[in-house]
Amino acid sequence: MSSIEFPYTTEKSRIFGNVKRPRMSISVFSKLDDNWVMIDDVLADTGADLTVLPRFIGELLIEDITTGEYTEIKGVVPASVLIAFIHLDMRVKIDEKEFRQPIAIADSNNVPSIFGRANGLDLFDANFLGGEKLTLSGDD
Amino acid sequence: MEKKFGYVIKVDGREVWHGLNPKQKFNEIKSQNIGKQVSIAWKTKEDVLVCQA
Repeated sequence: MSSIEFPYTTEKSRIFGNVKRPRMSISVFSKLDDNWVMIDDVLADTGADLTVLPRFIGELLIEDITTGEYTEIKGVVPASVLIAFIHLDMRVKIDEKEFRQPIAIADSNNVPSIFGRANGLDLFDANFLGGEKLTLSGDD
Repeated sequence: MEKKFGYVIKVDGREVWHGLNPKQKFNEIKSQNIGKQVSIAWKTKEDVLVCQA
C-alpha cells in the first residue's frame, strides 16, 4: 500500500484570520491534446459527492463540456444551484496512481476545484491528520 | 468590476501567469516549458469560508 501526503495550505479568513485547508494536486487526462493536465490547489472535500472543476479548466480537458450529463449541483447556500456537466469516465492521476472517475465541469468560472468522494476520495483511506496534512493511502 | 476569482499557471511550482482566461496561455506556457511541470489552479481573492456540497 502506498501513501501520498499533501500538507494543508494556510489561507486568509475574515473570521479566523487564517484557515488551513486540505488542498491537493491531481492530474486529469486531456482528450484535447492527448496529455495530462496538472491541477493544483484542489480542495479535498468529503462533503462533496463528486469532483468539480471550473469551466475553463474543464475546457482544457474536453472540447465541448456540454457533451456531459446536465446536472444541477446544490450546496449549503439556499436557492443557489450550480449548473454542471458530468463526464463519467475521466482519467485521473494522483502521484502515480491512475483511476477513472466522474467529473462535473461547471458552467461557471466562479467555482473552486474540488476533489469529492465518488470514485475519488472513496478509493483511498483518507486521513486528515491534526489539521496539518492529508494522507491518501491505497493499493498500488 | 474587478473579478474576485481567477486562474494561475505555475511552472515547477512558481506562478508565472494569472488572469481570467487561461486556455490559450496554458498551452503556450506548456509548449515553452517542455520537460518542466506546468500546472493550473483556480484562486479566489475573497477571504470567505468554504462550504461546498
